[in-house]
Amino acid sequence: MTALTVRSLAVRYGSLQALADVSWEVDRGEILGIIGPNGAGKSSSFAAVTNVVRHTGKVRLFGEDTRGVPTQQLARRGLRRTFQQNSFFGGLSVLENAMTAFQVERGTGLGGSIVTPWREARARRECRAAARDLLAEFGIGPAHHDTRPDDLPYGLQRVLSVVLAHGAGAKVLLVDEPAAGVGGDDMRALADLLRELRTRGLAVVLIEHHMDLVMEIVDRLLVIDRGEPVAYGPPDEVQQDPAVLEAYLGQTA
Amino acid sequence: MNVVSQLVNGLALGAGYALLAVGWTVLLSAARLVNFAHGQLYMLGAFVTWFATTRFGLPYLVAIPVALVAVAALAVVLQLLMTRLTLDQNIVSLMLVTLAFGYLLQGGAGLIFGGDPQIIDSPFQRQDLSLGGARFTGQDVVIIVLALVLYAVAFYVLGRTNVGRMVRGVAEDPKLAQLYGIDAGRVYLVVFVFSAVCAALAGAVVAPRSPILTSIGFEEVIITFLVVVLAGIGNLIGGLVVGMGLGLFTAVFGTYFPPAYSTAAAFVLLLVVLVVRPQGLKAR
Repeated sequence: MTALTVRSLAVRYGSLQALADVSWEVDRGEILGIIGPNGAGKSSSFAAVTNVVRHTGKVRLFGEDTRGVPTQQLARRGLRRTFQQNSFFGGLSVLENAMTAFQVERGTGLGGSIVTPWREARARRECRAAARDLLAEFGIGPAHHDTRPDDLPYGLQRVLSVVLAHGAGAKVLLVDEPAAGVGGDDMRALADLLRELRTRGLAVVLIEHHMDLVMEIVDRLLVIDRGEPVAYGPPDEVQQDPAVLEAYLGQTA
Repeated sequence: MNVVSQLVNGLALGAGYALLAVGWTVLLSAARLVNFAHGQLYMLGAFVTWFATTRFGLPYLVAIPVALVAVAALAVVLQLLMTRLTLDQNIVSLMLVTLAFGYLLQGGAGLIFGGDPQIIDSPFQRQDLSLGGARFTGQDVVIIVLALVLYAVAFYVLGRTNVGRMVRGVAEDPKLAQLYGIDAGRVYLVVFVFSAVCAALAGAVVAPRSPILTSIGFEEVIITFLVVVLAGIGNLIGGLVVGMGLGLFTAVFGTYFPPAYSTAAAFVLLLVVLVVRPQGLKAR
């Protein structure tokens, strides 16, 4: 069963048609890239898929229609996104952020933590242990755990956003410009991270402006321009498509 | 009255302010919201307690939980009406909506409980204690102890538990919290009900010290606001310290000057502090 199927997705903000008739799908163990000029509707499609903005069209998560399902329920079913800005709570420490990722899976719930403090204490220990393991696994060492995420080196902040989404149990991960503002080694680290998540069986959808990063890691590529789909297929084929060169690169073939 | 008696009196008064402020502090830090019906929830806590003791003949200690449950139920209804506004963080509309709730509750309470001043009969109020020449009542001790306990609980839950972390996360970014699978609407509901129950509890334990009217509440909400702003928005420990301090200030001020000026004097204090330290007394 396909992890995430999107059919004829359309988003309208007032008189602006942000997205029209866009279809794509992504399965576990795949990375789908979405590229297009600024304002093409890339981020809008993430907002629509997570039911944050109103839209038309069909979205299926593991075969189930997601219409009307609240964002937090979709998250519990494994659909998570990151934002162009950093996707963590700036007021919590790095470790607390990571603990929040395990909240739903291991937490005792709102009432439970007050009524049964002993279970709360155990849940807390489990969350902390899981959080430490998660951070250590992706190279964010104990020295960083008690700092605020904004004090991390920038490249590590970008990695943290993706790692947190993964830790929160993402099966389908929508990543919005993870490499915005980074370069060189940090970009390598992000590419390795996304490949690793693919190997672990996540379905990853990647919005990214760095073309070399995209071409290197995606299995399929969707190009949109002014809300309309331009091309969809394997990256090397899409790259040769004259319509893409015209729309995205502003060149005529 | 001697100086020690004034100090105990001031501490009890201040603990009452602190009790009123704890709910609002949590509401502000967790939901970035203000509730101008807070004072009316305080009034209802007092009046439902009075009603339960006089009409149903319940003992004071049984009447308090009855009042808390009644106000909690009311708070659920109020918050459900405001859920959309809360999730959108529509602060100005929320101020007006809660102010409207305040007037509605005041009017409703007047219809149900009448316009006469009433006295809550508390066994602790009849208990005269003395310590080192100071004379005070059991009620004063109850208020002070309750304030300390409630602040300890709030501090523990917000700062040290999974739920507290969740609440702080929702306060910072409800949309991001939802992506962690956290139901932000439910967190707001729980926080609002908690804050309402704290206000009702403050009403139930502070009110026996003096006669109550259904028109009380607005003065209290202003003082609460003052405590919260002085402490630095959302600063829990600061709320306790400032609440106590304000109580002491009012009591000491009242011994040397006419008490009618004490609220004005408290606001002069607020002005001075905010001019010197715009962030409030918060350390950071």
